[in-house]
Amino acid sequence: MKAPSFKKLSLKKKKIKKMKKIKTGMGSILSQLRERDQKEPFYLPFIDSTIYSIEEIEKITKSIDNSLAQMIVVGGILNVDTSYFNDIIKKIKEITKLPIIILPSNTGMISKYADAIFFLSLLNSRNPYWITGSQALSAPSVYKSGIEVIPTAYMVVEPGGTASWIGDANPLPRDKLEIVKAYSIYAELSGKELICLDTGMVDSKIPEKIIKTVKENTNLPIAFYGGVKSMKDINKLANAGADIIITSTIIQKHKKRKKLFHLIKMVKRKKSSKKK
Amino acid sequence: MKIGKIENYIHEIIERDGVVFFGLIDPDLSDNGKSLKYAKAFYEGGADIILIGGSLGYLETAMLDETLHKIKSEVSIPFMLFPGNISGLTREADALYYMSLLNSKNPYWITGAQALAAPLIKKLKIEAIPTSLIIVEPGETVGWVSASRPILIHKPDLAAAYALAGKYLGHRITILERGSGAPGPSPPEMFKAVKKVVCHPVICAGSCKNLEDIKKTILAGADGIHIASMIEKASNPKSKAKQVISYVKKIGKEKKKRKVKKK
Repeated sequence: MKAPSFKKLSLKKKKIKKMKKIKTGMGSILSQLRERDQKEPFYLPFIDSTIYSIEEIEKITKSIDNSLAQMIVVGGILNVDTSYFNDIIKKIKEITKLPIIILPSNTGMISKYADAIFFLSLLNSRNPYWITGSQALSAPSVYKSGIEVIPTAYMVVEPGGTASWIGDANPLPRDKLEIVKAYSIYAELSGKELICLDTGMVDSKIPEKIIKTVKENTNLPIAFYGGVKSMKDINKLANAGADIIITSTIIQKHKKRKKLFHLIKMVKRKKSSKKK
Repeated sequence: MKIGKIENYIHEIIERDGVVFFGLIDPDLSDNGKSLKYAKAFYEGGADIILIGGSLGYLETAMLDETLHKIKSEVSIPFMLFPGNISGLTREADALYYMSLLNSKNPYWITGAQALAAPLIKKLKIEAIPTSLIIVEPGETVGWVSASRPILIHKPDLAAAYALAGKYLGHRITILERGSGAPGPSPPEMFKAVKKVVCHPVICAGSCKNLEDIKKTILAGADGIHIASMIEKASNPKSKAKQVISYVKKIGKEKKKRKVKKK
């Protein structure tokens, strides 16, 4: 599929607001993610709370608000001071009405001001801390916060980046698809609602074969995180079957960001790779 | 995620009786019709589900199939697997606890074995019920084999934190297990703490030595109970099974009444 050119897409703010449908309430984030995956990939910009200052976050949020993105993911690989994390989320809430989902790195990233949390389990970690340990430590504060919990299977794909190193992962090999198959069926049977694949923020190719394998073996929405740099990558992901695309690298560059936010909505799959 | 037949059945029984009775049998190499005898005792005594244990998982699958096939011809209640490892999966079972041992030190017992078994489970079309298994002190054989860090017996909050994490990871049943040979079931405080934070069934796996243990556990909030050795040790398994099961159901109804009163 040819990527639409930048020039054609100059949507006005009013039109953008009309096209966005924002719902909140119990279980609504997950149902929105599920509804959406049937038609076209869902695009979620990721704000790294550990690298931006509040002013930068303000700028980024404004441009996200003026785009077609429908939710915002907040997280970060390293840990962050809890009150600062709360401040960031409050700031984002001031600027936009978009739902905020937390993609936590460890036990510290929980905030009652967010709308939902991807409750991650790093399935292919070698260290139980990242599979169930940190989850048990943080579960009580998630319970208190009362935000929506989305059980998420997180899997690191070769080569793996910072998350892979910190999470002591055994990255899924790209050419051993039977391993990918086993883990994705496990994710579905064990009650997860979402599969998140991560290749790390390095110059790596999009693992199309892996995404296809996961798609063939489960009915869960597939999120892809890490290393998305261009429209070409996004098209590749969409055609392989990714349902949710989380980007962080590209939104660091302001110029590219604006254009991309408009483009993402226009991405559609060549043909449905979903069996139903 | 769809809820399967057996899981629905478990929920219905909890709704009706307040508690589910699981009769645990453990077919091993020197079986000689033992497991058939106990399964029949459980069935005739009024058990809800026959649970097939396999703590060491060394039984050959063909043998297990044969034993279960025999039992199934005489016992017509659902069969569920309580697996000890990736072996022992059989198409004769109606469902299985798809367990993740949350407090193991070795990822193999949390996600590794589960992933290896996943394609086969899907192929055999056994209903997999996502389950958290939490090992409580002392842990005994299960704790040793699975390299667990058993939950401290006087720290119910730790058990509650793990149970909650399991719920948030998508599990729909929580089992508290102390291991076979433990001096008694997990303390009532632990069941209360767990039941406070999760609304799905919480099950006490074994270690009940007498009716008093059963009463305490159920009234503290347990929704299901696994019983094996109490029946196996009895001189007349049939009458013992009948006595224990009717007692469990009686206490279950009492628990239900108390709940209504609280509301």
